Amino acid sequence: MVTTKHLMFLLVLFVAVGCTGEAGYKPVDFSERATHYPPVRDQEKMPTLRVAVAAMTSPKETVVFYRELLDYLARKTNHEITLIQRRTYGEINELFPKGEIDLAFICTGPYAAGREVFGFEPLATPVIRGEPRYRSYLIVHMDSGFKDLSDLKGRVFAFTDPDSNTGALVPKDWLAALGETPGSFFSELIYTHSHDNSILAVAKGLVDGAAVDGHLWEYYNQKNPFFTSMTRVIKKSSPFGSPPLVASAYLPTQLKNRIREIALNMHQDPEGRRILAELMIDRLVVPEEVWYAPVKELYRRVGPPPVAKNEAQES
Amino acid sequence: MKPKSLKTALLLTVAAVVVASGLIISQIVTHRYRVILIQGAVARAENIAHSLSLAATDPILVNDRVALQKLLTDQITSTPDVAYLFVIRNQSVLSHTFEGGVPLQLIGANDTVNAESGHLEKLVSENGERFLDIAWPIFGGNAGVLRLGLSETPYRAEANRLWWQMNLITLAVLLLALLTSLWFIHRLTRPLVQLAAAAEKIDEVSLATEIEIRGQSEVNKLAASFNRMLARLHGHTQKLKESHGVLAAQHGELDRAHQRVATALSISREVSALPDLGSVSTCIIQALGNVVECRNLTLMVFSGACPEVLLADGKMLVAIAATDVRPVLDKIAGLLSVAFFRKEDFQGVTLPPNIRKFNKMAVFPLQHNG
Repeated sequence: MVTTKHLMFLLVLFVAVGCTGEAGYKPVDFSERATHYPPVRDQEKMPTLRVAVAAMTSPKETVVFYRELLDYLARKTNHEITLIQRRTYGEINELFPKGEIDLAFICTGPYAAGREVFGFEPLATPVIRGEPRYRSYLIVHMDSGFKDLSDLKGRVFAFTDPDSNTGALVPKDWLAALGETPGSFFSELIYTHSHDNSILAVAKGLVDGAAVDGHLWEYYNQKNPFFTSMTRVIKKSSPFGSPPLVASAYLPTQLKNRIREIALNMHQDPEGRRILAELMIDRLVVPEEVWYAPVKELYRRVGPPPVAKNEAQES
Repeated sequence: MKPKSLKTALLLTVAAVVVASGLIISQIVTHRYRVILIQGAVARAENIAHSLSLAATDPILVNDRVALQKLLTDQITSTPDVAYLFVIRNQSVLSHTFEGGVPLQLIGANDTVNAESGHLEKLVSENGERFLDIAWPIFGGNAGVLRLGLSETPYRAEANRLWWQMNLITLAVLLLALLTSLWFIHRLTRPLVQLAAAAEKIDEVSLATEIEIRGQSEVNKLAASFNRMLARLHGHTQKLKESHGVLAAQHGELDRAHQRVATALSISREVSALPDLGSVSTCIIQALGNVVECRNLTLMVFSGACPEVLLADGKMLVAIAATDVRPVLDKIAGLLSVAFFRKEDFQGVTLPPNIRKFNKMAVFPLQHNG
């Protein structure tokens, strides 16, 4: 017979089952709000070095690529490093005159074209596989039948950045030698904004061809050949000075000299040597202007860089 | 308070079992469903957070705040159950989707525990709204931490809908069970009710009645047993009746014998005090007149050794020779109880005037030995 006790038991069971699984919630007051939440900076125990890296590699690859090198510089200079990235070379260049960056790894093209304009000073250039120079590689898909640049007429082509030396300036020069321009030669031209993106675009068949930094292609081909193995190099350019490490004109001379000294002696330090080896760099050396002279010659042949154009228009 | 009837008790038991089992099942199923929904929601939140953190990496690294904001806004527009999104990098909120600003307590309410996967924290607001808060490292934490809040409200509403549906189903099952039980109990108890009604009608007169009840085998057995019991009762009652008749007859006989003895004693007592045979005869006739329902009595006294037969009617006494009426004396001498005779049987006997006119007479033998 159902009694009051039985009903009470069922009620307790009912409530007990219903109440399970509701524990473990952390109370949070959502009412106290702030429109802006500025960085709560610790007392800056160390001075900060703002280091920019141009978009030669994609933002993620840049962090992977440069993290150890920047950490090394931070330890050696006793500075905190803030990595600054932007989508284009031009955006990085524009930070120099504003004094918003102290150091930068920039592409050869902007260095050769904008040294005087943006006021940066070369500190070091990497020596890779025995030479401080690099080349532009014209790459196509491994399975394609393209054998040289002329086979790519009417095809889709990828430039990295409008200011890139190996990724844009060199292929323009190749086309100029054929009496063509990118607009007349290719059916479509896209900008990938980094060399690894250009390699990916060719590997995935998004474009038919691209011009990339030879050092980066070799680096990826050795360290992570997943995409480079799907590509084939059909043309290499003449050598140019490798992308240098430059300092802002606003950086104190003493610190600038200290950084230069660290960079140039990095290969003599075991830890520095390991980091350089990881990046497939032999050592860093003082840049010589003659290495970058061919770039200026390219600009003379294919036209001034965008920055120089702007400067001319403003004057 | 215990129910009075079997039907009510059965119905209450069925209702209690159906309601209790229905509620327990609905509660357990709803609870499990809610847990599964929440687990699914956590997986969904982690997937969204993972996907979003991958997409947000480049805008964060190149400091493209607008692209990041659009990314978050597009995400929250396309997934309405995502309540909020914000990105923290270097203890600074880079972008968020709150309309009135970032809740300050929320910023520190959750954080990543490693660079590879997210961390879940269950939060409840001051309004009681519950959130699954995921802190997901962006690019291994190098580009900050994405915070995603998934509201549990739609999932709980879904579970509550199921709870209501199951309870409604339970109610429907309860009604069906009650109707079925009512029909079944009615069908089950109808033979019992008939049996009870039949039992109430039975008295000593109708014990021979046989109850005709068709039902379950147990009910049929009960009815058969009841009928057998009735038959036994009927038999016993009949026997009792017969015994009662015998006893009544015996009692009447005893009563009459007693009366006879008492009369005889009374007559003997009175007779012994009388002086002559005429007075004795009158006394005896009067005494017998009180015992026997006969108005006309005649006393006839005779003995084997006596040569005369005396006839007395209370008024007169007549003596006749025994040899003249020997055949008549022989007829009545051997009587042990009352016997009826016709007038012709007393041929030769001069009967007194009071009985002479009757054709039929009863003879009560009174024998005296000694």
